[in-house]
Amino acid sequence: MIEKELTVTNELGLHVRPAVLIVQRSSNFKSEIWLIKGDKKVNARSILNLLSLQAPRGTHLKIVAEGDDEEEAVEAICKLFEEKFGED
Amino acid sequence: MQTTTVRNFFEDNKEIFNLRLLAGEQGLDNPITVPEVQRASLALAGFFKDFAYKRIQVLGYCEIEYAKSIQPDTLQKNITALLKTGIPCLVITKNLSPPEVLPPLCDSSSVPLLVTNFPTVEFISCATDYLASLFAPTIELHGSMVDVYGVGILLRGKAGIGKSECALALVKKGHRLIADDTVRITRHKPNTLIATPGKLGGNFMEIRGVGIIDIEKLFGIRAIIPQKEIELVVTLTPWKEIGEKLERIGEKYQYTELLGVPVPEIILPLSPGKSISTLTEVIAMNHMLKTHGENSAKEFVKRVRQSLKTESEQE
Repeated sequence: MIEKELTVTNELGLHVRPAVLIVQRSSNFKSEIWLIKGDKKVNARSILNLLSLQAPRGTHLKIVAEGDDEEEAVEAICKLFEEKFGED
Repeated sequence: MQTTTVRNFFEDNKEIFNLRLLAGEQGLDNPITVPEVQRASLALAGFFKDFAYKRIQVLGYCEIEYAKSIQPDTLQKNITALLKTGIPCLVITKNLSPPEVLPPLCDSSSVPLLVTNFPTVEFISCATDYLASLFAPTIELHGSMVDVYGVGILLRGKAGIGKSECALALVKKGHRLIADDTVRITRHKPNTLIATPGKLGGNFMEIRGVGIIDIEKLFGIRAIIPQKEIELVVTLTPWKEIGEKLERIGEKYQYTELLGVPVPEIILPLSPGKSISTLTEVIAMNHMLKTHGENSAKEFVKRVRQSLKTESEQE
């Protein structure tokens, strides 16, 4: 299992479109992937779960993955955040 | 190119228009190659430049009165010229009597002369409608067509994927079948797609493992409907083949084209345990909501943004 810190940097925060991107990207991997905000831990393959995090710009999150391709999975999701989901 | 003959036009519309054949029977197999009808006024006056000779020509009250008013030899000359242009047939409206010279000339040049009791404008409009639907672009494709809560849905997908089974489940739930396996689609002007069954009719369905069943006999008359406008295409696809094409929010429809007309398409992933017929019912209801101006997905997106904004202002 690996984990990594993340920050939401795009203007609109973790809204619907980014959530869709995270779900689509996560589906390419076999590992279980979660995002964590405070004491809330949600499945990265569920749009409604991701949105329930309520993460506007500046929110600090943690990503956790467990499985054969956990490293690649974490890297791929982090990249989405770094690229601001192609927004701004 | 689509064509018909004067004979077909005559036989199909004999009762509707009260058509009678006065002369020119030898020309009944003249082809009709355009879905258009016009009054023969200018030709009767001897003006043939750009004359649309492929159209059905109509002689109404004005034309008959005009024919009475000109010199008989001019009339004979103009009618002879008109009949030589290659027109498919002539139709006299309102049960008017033709000029005396007309029937023999129609006989000798093999141009059928028909008479209807319809007024001119009504005849032109009805005959144009008849020809337009006959000449409308048509394709036949593989799929099932159902009416779900009044929404016409074309189910598509590879052979054996479960289109017929889905249609059957929908019929069982009280919806209606238009066609199974072969769906004939006609484009009516300007952008309406009408689905009808193929030649064998829409009652029969092949269910793998069961064989051929007759939907009308099994479920009664309420289970079938002869034609329906296509409003949505639902494409059944194996889960594995969908990938990132899978729609997750549904704010906007994706579109596919049928006969050049864009139709909203929903790509539905299949996996064990899913009730495709229930999903199709929900798709139909959601479509009704959307056409009613209620887009749930859009509303949801808006709500998420609002909530994120509030959240960030609080921090």
